[in-house]
Amino acid sequence: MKIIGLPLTSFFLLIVLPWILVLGQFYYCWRIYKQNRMTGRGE
Amino acid sequence: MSLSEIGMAIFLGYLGLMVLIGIVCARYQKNMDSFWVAGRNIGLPIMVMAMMASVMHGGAILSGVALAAKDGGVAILPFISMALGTLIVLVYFAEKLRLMAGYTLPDYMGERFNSRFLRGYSAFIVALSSIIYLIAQVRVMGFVLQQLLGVSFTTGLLLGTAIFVFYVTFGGFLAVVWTDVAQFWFMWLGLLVLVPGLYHLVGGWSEVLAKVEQVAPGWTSPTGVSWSWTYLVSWYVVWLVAYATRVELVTKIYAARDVNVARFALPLNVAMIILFLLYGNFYLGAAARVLVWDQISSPDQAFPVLVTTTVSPFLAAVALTGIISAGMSTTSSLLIIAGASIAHDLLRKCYYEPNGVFKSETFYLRISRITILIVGVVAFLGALRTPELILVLVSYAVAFLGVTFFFPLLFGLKWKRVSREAAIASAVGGSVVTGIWTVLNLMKVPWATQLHPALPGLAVALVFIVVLTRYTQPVPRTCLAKFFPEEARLVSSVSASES
Repeated sequence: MKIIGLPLTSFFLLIVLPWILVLGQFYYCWRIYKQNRMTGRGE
Repeated sequence: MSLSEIGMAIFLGYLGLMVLIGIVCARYQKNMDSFWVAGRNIGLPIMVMAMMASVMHGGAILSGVALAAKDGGVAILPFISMALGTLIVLVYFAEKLRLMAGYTLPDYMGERFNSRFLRGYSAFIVALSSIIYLIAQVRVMGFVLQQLLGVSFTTGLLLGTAIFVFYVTFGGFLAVVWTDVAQFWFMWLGLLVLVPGLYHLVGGWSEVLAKVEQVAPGWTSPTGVSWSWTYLVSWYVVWLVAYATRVELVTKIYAARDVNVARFALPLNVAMIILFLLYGNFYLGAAARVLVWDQISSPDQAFPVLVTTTVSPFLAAVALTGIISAGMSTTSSLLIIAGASIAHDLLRKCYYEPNGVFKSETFYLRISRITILIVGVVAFLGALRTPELILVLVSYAVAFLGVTFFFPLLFGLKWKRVSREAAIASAVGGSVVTGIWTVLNLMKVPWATQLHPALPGLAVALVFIVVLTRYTQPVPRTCLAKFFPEEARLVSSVSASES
């Protein structure tokens, strides 16, 4: 089975996993940013 | 007009802009902060563009397309390593390195582990790795200028080296950042102009993948046409460690305006690189395999030949100038890092100041400029003679950095217990083993070539840091205060009660 010309494993590694990692990093940054604002920790 | 005439006009315009930026930035160089970390005043958009331009070396496009064209899906995994490596930088390194307010990675090694030897040794490794990396970048420029301007390989090398040494020597880190921004736009433009022409020839994403599977069965699978899963995983580990210790990336963190800029710039950088390099190289690699694979003698020629044979001379000149700008932006970052390693880490922090000799900032700026000049000349001479492939050279350069810094950074910023002796043994043991393994690889010893030199070095570095930390004493609290807020509070309360 292929999705946009890619086998399933390649589709996951090329299209899905990179963006999960990027979104995870953004979420981490945002969480720390909000936490620091709420605790009034100056950066 | 021919490609060489148009190429000359576009390339000269581009070089004029870079020199102009160098001259303008030179007016703002007043002290070491402004020369090496641009006054620690870089905001988010500029930081992202500068990070991306310096991480995306010329070889990343040229040899990235070559790797994709030759082996297919194998080209995916280095970018997963990059995303994971950046995650490590983000979670463990970024905040503490920015708050430490140093200039270089050897600054961290010296201050965290209270060791002048470790600072000096780290500076030596950074300078060595930068020179190997520079040789690869300069070779990329030589190949591309040969196609673009119709000049000899040696002339292309000389022209490229001379111009980037000039603007880095005069403009410092500020020039590096602003030329990175200009080069960022050139890189995007360089690849985007190719899209309509290639789309017309090979079709869209799905069409080109269907065509490449017909000429090279298995190309779209993660292991590509010829790699095994085991070799793929070892390659993946090397790049994971390499991306977590990329000096061009980590040094930029020191220049961020604040911790938030340092943090948010990292995922933005990864997102842009995925769009640009992962998808760009994959599509271009497939197109090169379908269109020009029979016309080239080395995979490294895939991109230049694809460009010159499939689009108009004007668009080819723009695309090739984009590749040169990718090479130059990384090269300029490496040059400034090499200059800082020698002037700041070796001479100032390991020799003059510990011996009670205090020199002016102008003296150290002059030393770093002379160093940049010498490193440029050494890289040029090395690029003339080296027989190695670009991607192999780059992997050796990042291997040395990875094995030296990865565990002292990862464990040293997380656990207070890590001792000076453990960090020294890890950095020295790891890099020496990698050095020996690299020589065995270059001598083509069969059992040694089965493994990338970084892997045995990493294993030794890990064992040394874990075992020796158990049996040696941690560094004094005052050295930990910069990296662990609770230690800083403890130190200040102790000194307050004493006074």
